[in-house]
Amino acid sequence: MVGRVEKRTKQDMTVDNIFSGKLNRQEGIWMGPSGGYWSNLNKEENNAFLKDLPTLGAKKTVETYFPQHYETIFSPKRAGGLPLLDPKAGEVVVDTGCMWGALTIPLAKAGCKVVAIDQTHESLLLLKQRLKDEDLDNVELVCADIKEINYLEGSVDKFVVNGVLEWVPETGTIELKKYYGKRSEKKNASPASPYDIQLEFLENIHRGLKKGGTLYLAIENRFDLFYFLGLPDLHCNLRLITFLPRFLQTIVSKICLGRPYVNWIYSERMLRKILTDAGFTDISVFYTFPNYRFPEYILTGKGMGFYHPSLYKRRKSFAVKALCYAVENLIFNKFRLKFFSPSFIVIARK
Amino acid sequence: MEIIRNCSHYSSIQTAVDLDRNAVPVRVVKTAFTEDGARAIRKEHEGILWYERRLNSAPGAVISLVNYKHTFSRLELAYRNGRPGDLTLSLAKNYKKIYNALNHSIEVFRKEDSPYNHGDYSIDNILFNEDDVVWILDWENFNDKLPREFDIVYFCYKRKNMLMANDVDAAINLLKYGIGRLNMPYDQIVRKPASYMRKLFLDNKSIFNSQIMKYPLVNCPYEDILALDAIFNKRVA
Repeated sequence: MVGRVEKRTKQDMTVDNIFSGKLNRQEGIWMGPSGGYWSNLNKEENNAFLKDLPTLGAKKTVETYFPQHYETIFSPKRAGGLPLLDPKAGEVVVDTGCMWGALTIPLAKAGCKVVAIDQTHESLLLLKQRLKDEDLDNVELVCADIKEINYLEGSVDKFVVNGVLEWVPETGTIELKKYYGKRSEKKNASPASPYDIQLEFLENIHRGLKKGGTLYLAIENRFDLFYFLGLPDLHCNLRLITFLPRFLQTIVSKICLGRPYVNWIYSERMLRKILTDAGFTDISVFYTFPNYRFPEYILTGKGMGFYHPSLYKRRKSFAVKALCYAVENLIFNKFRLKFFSPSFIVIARK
Repeated sequence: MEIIRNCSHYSSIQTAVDLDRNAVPVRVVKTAFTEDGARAIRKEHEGILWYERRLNSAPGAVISLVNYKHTFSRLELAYRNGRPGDLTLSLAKNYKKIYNALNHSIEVFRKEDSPYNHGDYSIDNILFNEDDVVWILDWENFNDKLPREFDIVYFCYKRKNMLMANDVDAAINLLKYGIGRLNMPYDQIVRKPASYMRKLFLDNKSIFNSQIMKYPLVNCPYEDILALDAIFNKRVA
């Protein structure tokens, strides 16, 4: 029998199967309802690297134009929490707020059908180049506002919300360098409470999940031990603000930055509450050290005994390092006070 | 499931431990999302199966292995009880453990003159019960391309700190013993251990990939190597 050359069937369009509206495809990126902009870089910087992107490739471009973000984009350590999600080949995984694809790429490498959504077109172009460099063809890129886009009921196996939930209440353009700790009058701030906006966002995700599907959520802890010791809030650069009551937070933020405080982060109890309100069950919270971006220790309550001080490494002077080590050792190792852990990774099921 | 160390193999392997209800570890799960890490995990799988056969123990160390193309691997292993050795202790203080581990290495790897090497045979990769060897961990560099004496020489010199003068006698004794049992000419190894070790690493660069720059004796200044050689020379003479 003569061997037959098998025709490669075109990959079925995952995007059509999970979004309720019809999306158009432009140059390999699906365009959905958009409006916002969020980037660590300013718009000019983003536009500057685009012309060199196809010739230099993603890694070289980042090295040349913004080397300070190289680790954030390419470090394999970023995928530290993904074993908890247990991605399997063939599953449909949606990475909401994928940015430069720190988790999109590992998920794609695990063989998942990944749909990566972000509102910043430039970030997606860099990610597109990364996919090309890595020769990965199982990722669909979607440029859309994650609050506006609607999922078809029960269409997605797994969702990834990595460091995004606290930014969800923000609207409009955010160029982080101009925004972080800087004064800005926000005219288009939404009157709704950040909790409600985040809840709506999570409900939307819950609707999109298949029965038994999993949500991977990573977020800072409102009661991080070092916030009490004066570490600035990572979202607005104000000190001693995260653990204040909400109305005080707004007052302080209005005085210092001229805008309300909307980057709400939560304690473990409130995180469980918002997820339960959104419909999730079987919620497991993992305490993540030194942070969820570059996790080294991801522990449950009973595993706290495995902890070894890791936060002190980020400090600069020797005295602060030593102090930090002692505090960590006492709080997390000896007393196992997970309440003060720096951040959480949550695995929740529908 | 607890992820306890997300730093092995240049951060590309995530090691997780599964605990039972009483917080006792039952499984170890290693996952890699990069080509480099996935290759190391496949090697580890190969090594552990080989080790199990060598020990003639009932299979059960590997619970499952999942691969996707060459970019993803996930390996589930049964948890072994034991305490890894402490690299920060001096050689003299670790003498008994090292002696036992050396014997174990010769029993396992040199029996019937096998071509294989563990590739990262160091005291923090060996589990002990008191001073007895229970199990060998971290088979990421398992291969059959290194010279036979590699594990033994590497084992005696891989240290967090450089060898102190009072460790030297212990090291020389161990080396003479280990290499003597293998019928190898140990003259060069004992007289110039540091430069010999460095040469072994650099000659076999391809096996260790980028990891090699982390190894002692590779990333230290050449003067230190010569100084160490001199100390040994004096002691042997």
